[in-house]
Amino acid sequence: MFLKEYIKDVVGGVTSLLKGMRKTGYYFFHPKEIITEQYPDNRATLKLAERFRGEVVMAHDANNEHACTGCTACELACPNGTIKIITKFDMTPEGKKKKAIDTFIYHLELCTMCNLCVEACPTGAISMAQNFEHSVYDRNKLTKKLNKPGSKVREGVE
Amino acid sequence: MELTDTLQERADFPGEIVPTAGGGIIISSFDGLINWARSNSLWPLTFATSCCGIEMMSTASAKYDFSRFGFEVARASPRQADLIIIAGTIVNKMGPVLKRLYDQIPDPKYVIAMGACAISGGPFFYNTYSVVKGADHIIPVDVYIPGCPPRPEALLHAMISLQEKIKSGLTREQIREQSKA
Amino acid sequence: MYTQTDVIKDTTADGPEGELVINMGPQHPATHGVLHLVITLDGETIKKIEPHLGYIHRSIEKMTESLTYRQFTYVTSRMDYLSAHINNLACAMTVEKAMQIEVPERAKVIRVLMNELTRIASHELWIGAMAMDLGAFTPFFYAFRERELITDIMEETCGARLTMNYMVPGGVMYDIHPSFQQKVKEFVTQFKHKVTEYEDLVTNNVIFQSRTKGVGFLSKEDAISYGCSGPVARASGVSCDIRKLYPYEVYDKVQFDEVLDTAGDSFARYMVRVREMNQSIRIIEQLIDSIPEGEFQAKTKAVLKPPKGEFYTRVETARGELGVYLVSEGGTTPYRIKYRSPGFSNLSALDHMARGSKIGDLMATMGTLDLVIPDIDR
Repeated sequence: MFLKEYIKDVVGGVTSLLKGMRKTGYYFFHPKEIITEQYPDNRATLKLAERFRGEVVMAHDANNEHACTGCTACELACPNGTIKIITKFDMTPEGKKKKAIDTFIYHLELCTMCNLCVEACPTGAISMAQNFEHSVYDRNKLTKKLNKPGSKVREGVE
Repeated sequence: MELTDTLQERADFPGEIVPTAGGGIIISSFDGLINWARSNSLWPLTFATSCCGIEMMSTASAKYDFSRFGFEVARASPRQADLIIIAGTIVNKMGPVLKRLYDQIPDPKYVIAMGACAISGGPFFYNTYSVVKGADHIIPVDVYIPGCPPRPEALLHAMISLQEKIKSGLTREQIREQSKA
Repeated sequence: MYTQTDVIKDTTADGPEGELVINMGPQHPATHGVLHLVITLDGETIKKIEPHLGYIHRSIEKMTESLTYRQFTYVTSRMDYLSAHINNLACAMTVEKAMQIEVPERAKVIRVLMNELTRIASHELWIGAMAMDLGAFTPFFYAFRERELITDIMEETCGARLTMNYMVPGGVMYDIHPSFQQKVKEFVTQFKHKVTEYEDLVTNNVIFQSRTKGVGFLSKEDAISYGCSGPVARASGVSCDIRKLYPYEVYDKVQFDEVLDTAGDSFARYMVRVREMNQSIRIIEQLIDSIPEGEFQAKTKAVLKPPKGEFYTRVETARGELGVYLVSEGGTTPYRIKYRSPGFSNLSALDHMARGSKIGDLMATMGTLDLVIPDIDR
C-alpha cells in the first residue's frame, strides 16, 4: 500500500510540475505576449497618463509673466514644507504698494506629489508636470526656483 | 607625474602617495575597460524599507525589467551585491544597520537614494522625531531620484545615470566640483 | 547620534545547552521589509520567536497631530502602502463622521471601486511575494503582470501609481477618467482569463501544497484572542469582514460573500485570499456600469474644524481591520489620532503559530500572514 501511495505522489508531483512548465513554456514561444517596455529607447513614444504627477511647475507665458500673486495658499496647504515663498512689495505706477513674489522656492527632494498645493491655488499659477527624469548626482540641484528671473504677475490676476 | 604633483600640493590629503612610474596608456585604457564591465554588471541588494520597495519590485518585474541593463538579479546578501538602492525611509534605529550593510558590500560599491524619504526624509522631514533626514548622513550616495515613490522608469533613468557615472570614472567629489563650475 | 545597537546579540552564552539564537532580519528577503525576528531554536525546531519592531517607526501618529485635517490623509498612504486607498478612505470617513458631511452617491461608488481594485492589487502582489519566499520565482512575474494593469488604471484616474492621495474629506479628488469604466472592464475580462494560470502555477503545485498544508495552524479561539483580523482570521473560521458586519459606503447594496475557511493553516489563508479576489471582481462587476451621475465631491469649507469629541471608524483593508480613533478639541489639527492596524495584531500570533514547527516552515507561516512592516510600526 505504501509503495502505491508513494508512486502516486511521485506521478502527481511530476504532472503538476509539467503543468506549470507548460504554462511558462507557452509564453516562451509566444513573443506577442511580451509586455516589456523598452524604456530608454521608447522615450519619444512614451505616453504617460495625463493626470500623472511628476513635479510642480509654474507656467510662464511669452511675456515672461506668470499668475502667482504670492498669496502663500500653497505654502500653507503643503503638508511637509516643500514650498517656500519669499514675497516683496512692488510699487505700482499710482504709487501704491503691491505684494508680489520674489522667489518661489520648490524643494523637489521633499515633494510627495500629493497635489494639495495645486488644489489650493486660487489663480491656477502652478500645475503638475509629467516630467519624471529628475535623477541627479548632487542633492543641492533638487532645490529649484520656479519663477523665472525677471518675471512678473500677469495683468488682471488678483 | 602630473597627478602626483597636484596631490602633493594638497596638505590635507589623507594617506600616503606612491608615485606611479611610466606613461600609463595601457593602464588607463584598461581602466576604461574595467569601468565599462563594472557598469554593466551591477547587482543590487534587496534593501527595501517601505513603499519605494514595491516600485523597485515593479522595476524588476516583467513590464520594466531592469535585467536589460545588467542589474541582473537582486541579491539578498550584501556580500554578493554591488549596489544598494535605498528604497524607503531610514529611521534612527535602522541607521546602524544600513551602515553595517554598506560596510559589508565589497568594493567598488554604489548607492542610489530612491524617493523623497531616502533623499531628505521627504514627508517625514518636519514634525517627526525618529526619521533620518536623508540617507547621505549615514552613507555616501551617488545618485538621487526624487519622487514619492518614483516611477519605475525614473528608477531606470537613475540606473542609467549611475552607469554613465561609472563609465566616466570620476569620483563623487569630482562630479560635484564639475557641476559647480 | 547613530551608535551601534545590539543588532546581533549572542545569547548562547547564558542560554541552556543546545539552544541556538538566530537573528532573522532586519535585512532579510523574506521579512518584506525590516522586521527583526529573534528566533530561539532547538536543533531545527522553533522554541520561541520574538519580533523586534521599530526599524521603520516614522511616528506617523505624532506627526498627524501637527497636520490639518486635509493634510493628514496623505501621510497614511505611507502606512500600509499596498492598500493606500483604503487607509485614505478610513481617515476621510473619520473626518466626514465628525463633521457630518454627506458624501455624494457618485463618490461613494467610486471609492468602493477603487478599494476593491486596491484589494486585488494587494493580493496579487502578495501571491508573487509569498511564492518567492517559498522558492518559486516565476509566479512573481505573472502576479505583477496583472498588477501593472491596475496601477495603470490608478495612474490614469488618480495621478499616481502607489500612493495616490485620491480620497479627500467630502469625496474624491478628481472625477474618474473618461476611459476608466472601459479599462476596468478590460481588466476584469483579462483577470478572469489569467487567474487560472495561478492555479496551474501555484495552487495545484504539489511542492507548494506540501509546504503550506498543515503548516502554521491557528485555531478559531486563538485567532480571536490574538485579535487577528482579515484573511488570517477568516481562514480560521472567524467571521470578521467589516464590509459585511458594519457596512460602510455602498457595501450594503452589493452582493458578495464573506470568504470563510475552517482549516486555519497556511494553505487556507492562501485560498481565502484567492477567493477574495474573485469576490472583489464580483463587486466591481456590479458597480462598474451603474456609477450614478452627480457631484464627485461634497462642498466643504476650506478649513475643516470638527467639533470637540471622539470619533472612531473602521474599514476592511486588504490585511484586516483598520481602525482610526480621532480625538478632536475643535481646532484645525487633531488632538490625537490612533490607528489600529491589522498587521500588528496578526504579527502577535506568529509566535504561537510557529512554536514547535521547523524553521523551514516559518517562511510559509510568515508569508501567509501578509505583513507590511510600516503598517506595524507606523
